[in-house]
Amino acid sequence: MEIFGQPGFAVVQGLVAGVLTGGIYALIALGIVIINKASGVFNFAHGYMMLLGALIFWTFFQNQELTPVVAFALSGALLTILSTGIRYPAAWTRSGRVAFIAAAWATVGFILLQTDNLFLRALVGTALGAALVGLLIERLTIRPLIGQPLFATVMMTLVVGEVLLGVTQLTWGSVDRSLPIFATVNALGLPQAYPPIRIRDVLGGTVVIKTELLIAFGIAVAAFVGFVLFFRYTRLGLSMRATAENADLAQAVGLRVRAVLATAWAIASVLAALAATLYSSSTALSITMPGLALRVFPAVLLGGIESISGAFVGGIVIGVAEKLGTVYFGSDVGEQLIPFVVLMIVLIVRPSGLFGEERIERV
Amino acid sequence: MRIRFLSGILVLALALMALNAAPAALAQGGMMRTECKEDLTGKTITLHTFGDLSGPFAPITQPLAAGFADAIKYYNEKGGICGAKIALQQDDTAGRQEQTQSLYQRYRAFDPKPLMLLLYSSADAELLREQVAEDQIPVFLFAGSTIGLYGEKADKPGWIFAGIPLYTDQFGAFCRWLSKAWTTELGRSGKPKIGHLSWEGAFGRSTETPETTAYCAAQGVEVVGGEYFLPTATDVTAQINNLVKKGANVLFTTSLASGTALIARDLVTLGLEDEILLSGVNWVLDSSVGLLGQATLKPDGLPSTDNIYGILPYVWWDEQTEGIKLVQEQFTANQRPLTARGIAYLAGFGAVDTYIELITRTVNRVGFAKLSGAEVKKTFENFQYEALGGVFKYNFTETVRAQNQVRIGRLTYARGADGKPVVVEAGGRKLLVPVVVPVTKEFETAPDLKPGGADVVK
Amino acid sequence: MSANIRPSGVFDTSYAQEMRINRTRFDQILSAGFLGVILALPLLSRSGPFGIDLVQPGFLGTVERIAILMIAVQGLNLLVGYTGQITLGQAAFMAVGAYGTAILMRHGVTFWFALPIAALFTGLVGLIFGLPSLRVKGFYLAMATLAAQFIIPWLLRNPLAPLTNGASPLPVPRADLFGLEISGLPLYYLLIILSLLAMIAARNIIRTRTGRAFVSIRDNDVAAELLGINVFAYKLRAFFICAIYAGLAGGLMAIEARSLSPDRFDLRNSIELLAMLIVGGTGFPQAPIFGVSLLTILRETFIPSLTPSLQEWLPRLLPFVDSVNINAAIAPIIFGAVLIAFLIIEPRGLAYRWEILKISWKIRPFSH
Repeated sequence: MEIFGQPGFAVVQGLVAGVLTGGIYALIALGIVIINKASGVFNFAHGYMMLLGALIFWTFFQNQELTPVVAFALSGALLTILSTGIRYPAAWTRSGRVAFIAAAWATVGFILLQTDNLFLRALVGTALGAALVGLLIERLTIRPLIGQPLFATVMMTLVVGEVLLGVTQLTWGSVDRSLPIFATVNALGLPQAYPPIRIRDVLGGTVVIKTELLIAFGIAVAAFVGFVLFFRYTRLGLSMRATAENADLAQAVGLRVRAVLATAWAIASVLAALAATLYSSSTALSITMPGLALRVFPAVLLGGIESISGAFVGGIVIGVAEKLGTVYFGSDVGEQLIPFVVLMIVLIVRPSGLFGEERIERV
Repeated sequence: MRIRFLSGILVLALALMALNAAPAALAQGGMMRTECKEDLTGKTITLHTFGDLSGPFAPITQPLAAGFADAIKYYNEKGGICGAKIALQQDDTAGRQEQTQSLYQRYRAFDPKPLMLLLYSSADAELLREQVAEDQIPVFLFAGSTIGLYGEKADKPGWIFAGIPLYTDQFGAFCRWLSKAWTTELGRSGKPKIGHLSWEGAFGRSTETPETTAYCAAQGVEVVGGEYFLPTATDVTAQINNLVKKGANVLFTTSLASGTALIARDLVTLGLEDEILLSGVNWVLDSSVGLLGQATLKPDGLPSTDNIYGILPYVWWDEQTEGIKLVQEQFTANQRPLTARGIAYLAGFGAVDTYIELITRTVNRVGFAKLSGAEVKKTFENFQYEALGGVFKYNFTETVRAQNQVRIGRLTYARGADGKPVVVEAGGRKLLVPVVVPVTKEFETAPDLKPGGADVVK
Repeated sequence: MSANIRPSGVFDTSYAQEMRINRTRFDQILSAGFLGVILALPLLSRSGPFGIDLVQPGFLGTVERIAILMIAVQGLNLLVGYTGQITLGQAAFMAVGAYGTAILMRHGVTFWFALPIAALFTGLVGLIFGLPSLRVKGFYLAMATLAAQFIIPWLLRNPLAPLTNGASPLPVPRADLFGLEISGLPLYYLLIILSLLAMIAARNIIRTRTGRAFVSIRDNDVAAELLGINVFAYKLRAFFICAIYAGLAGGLMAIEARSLSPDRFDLRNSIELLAMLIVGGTGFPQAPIFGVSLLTILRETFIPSLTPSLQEWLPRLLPFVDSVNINAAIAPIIFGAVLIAFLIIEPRGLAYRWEILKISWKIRPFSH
């Protein structure tokens, strides 16, 4: 059976691959949108934060031993994060806070130093490491520019990207690495990736679903639901939205603007690490990673730059457009032209993106 | 962490020695260096090189820097160039053309002027082709760019000499071999039909030209078309399906490490690993591909990148020649990681050896006082040399500007005496060891398929 | 973001003075001196007539590229700094100008015709991608121009390949004047003069009716419309002028580099042009001079000269670093660190700081 002159199964395959790839795009877009929601800044450094995050994951995942110094530093990061975030609910008593922080610290320290489960350790280590990176970027480069022209801050994210590139080169070099996290161990003791799901006899052929992309997609969906709820119902989420709307006003009503900004960067950095790790597990951890973030820009804009659900839909639309474009017109059209043509069309039809908020302007 | 890594390398080295010791006899005689007529002790001769160390080609090029460093250290201990010390001037272009341009202008203005530039990107060579000719600086290039070497119409040999065959010629040599081996060695039926599946850009698109398509057709190999993907692609199943639909049963790729690994992986995903033969230019046999490909295993338990065919225009690490032994020794002595055991390190080492020979011959001919880029080019134009005792065979003339001796190689994994793959542990990770097996034993001259070349089908 | 910061005590006594490019004598002396130094640079290099080795010959190439990029950044300044629109496609517009010039020259058209024709054509292309500015603003406009940044190189690579050599480089013939080839010193002076003319032209555009309309759109486009300014027409005009500047810069780049490839005009280059503008000081006429010079000299001269010594001591300082990786890491780190420092110290750009500096000098010992 054919759909518009192409074998039906190939179209379905393109659709499936597009949706799954779109999940990763969406996760990357989410990180960019969160920073934009909190501070109105378009983060050009996101691709480099991804690269760094994935390399941190690789380091934990690869090496058996971990020096207590690193574990201590990461636990310290956790401490910082908790002590900024935890003061929000006024109901916490002082001793309750101290006890909670101590318990969390001990747990993390134990996991980092003791566990044999590399995956768990890498997960905890990366979450903390990436959060630390986000906090450092915010503290050292973004915060000094609060109150300055927005242009300067956008420029600063570009520059931060450059520095992160240098740091990754200095520490890890630029050799491509494999990151087999969705894998079992086979008879030889080698990691064996989960086999793909094959659905036979779909419109005249076999449709293949890559397991790791499917898992990545599931994680992306979970992250989205989580963040939609976070921004709608939690105190921190709401104060982030308020800060994005008007930082001065937010400060005036007693919101902790600096803490909100710091949290947004930490969350975005963790999301970047997550997306990058999932992406690397499906191909390779390569230094071309920042280029992936550039390809996600149309997705971010398509959905509307302030919209969480928009990021999700935008990511998937771009993913599908790329793959179906490749099926119908070949990859030089599909991957390099179609996303931008779709972007232009959306801009003409709905200038504020699919889910963006229209603003009314006054003199 | 470091110690585990080192022990991993040690185990690997031992395993490789054990593998190699039994069958291979020593292939060559000693390494042939021209005798010096002049003693240059106390002088310093600089090797100038720049290229993409932090851009898209970085995965391949960084081990090159390691190769340079180790080779220069080694040869300086052995007396340098007739007693003169070798120094290294190296810079990074980050894959940006404007940076190449400005670095070149800096290098051109050095006093003394560089005797030779060592480059490793087609784009850099193509950009600088006219300028190096004007400034009389010969270039030794580790890429196979037709425009860079012979100009736009491929009729003007310039000042650039390539250490590997032109990509067009590599593809032609592969077609020639494929038509012969298709039913015999490969045991396939029907006719071979090739689809190009490569990185977007000048490098990736270099093999699909009218000349190569016509040459392959004359050999009985049909080229069904090409698909090009970005280095950041996550999935090439749609591209593979497109080519299969056109009838392709062989994929030929001009891409580096992660690009080739991605294709191999998606072939396994689609269940096509037995139907479709994966092949490519010399870079696809690199260890970087063999190591990355292990993330996906085929149903038979071997990595997706097992049995990739490609062009092998040099002697590989697994062949026991004296040159390889020397490189292996230095590699181990300098504690280089397993990821560096690929073509780039070898090429870096070979380039330093070639440079020494070039300068030695030029000094012998004109004397140190008259040493210049123009004289080095003259040496280059009549240069028969086997670098590292035969690892790289060069035969440059007035008209032949690229290395053109090729074999066909196959990327596979080391096996022990029991026939099972050898598993080593490096850096806390279990790994199979990628090896390259020459499929054709003798080096053959690759067809000349630049526009207007000798083997172009009229 | 005002270009007219003036200390007390500097005032205009006539309309002619108000309209002058350099309002004060101090400015005049400085401009003339700066120009003089630039023009004298080749004489002080090894290839100059006096044979003194004060200026490295490689540095002249850097100045040439600064001159070219200044034109492109000045165009960007008119659009971004004065009209308040944004574009992420400036490098793509440069590509149109560069390829246009090169293709015309390869078909026998002399450089002196090829350059203006290509620049005008670039202006028209700029108009097309300026059309979304009717409906979208801010980041969404940025993304419409981002689409230009990907669509134009795609066109160069694929459908236009018979003219452009596709992804392979396109050699560019030499420019000539009455049969004399322009290279070396004449090329240097040609680029400096054209760049200077472009700067003066921009300065003139700003102080015309059009320029004032631009500024009013930037400050508040709704208010501008109420004042009777045809906002869309002026936005399009800004895009047109911006693209012409890009086209000019592209055409000059073609004859300077003598070889073009689409990779040279990618998003990174567009973003870098914006970076130069922001570092220079958005909305100041001198912004391109400061921004382009700082970034280009940093990348082409300063960092390579630091590299060897860093390679010596960095591995000793940080034991986990493999010396092989240092070469690739140094440039981005230094480049980033210097720019971070600049941005934190002066987020409004160097031109702003320069104005403040002049004022402080004028009214010393009182602080501004």
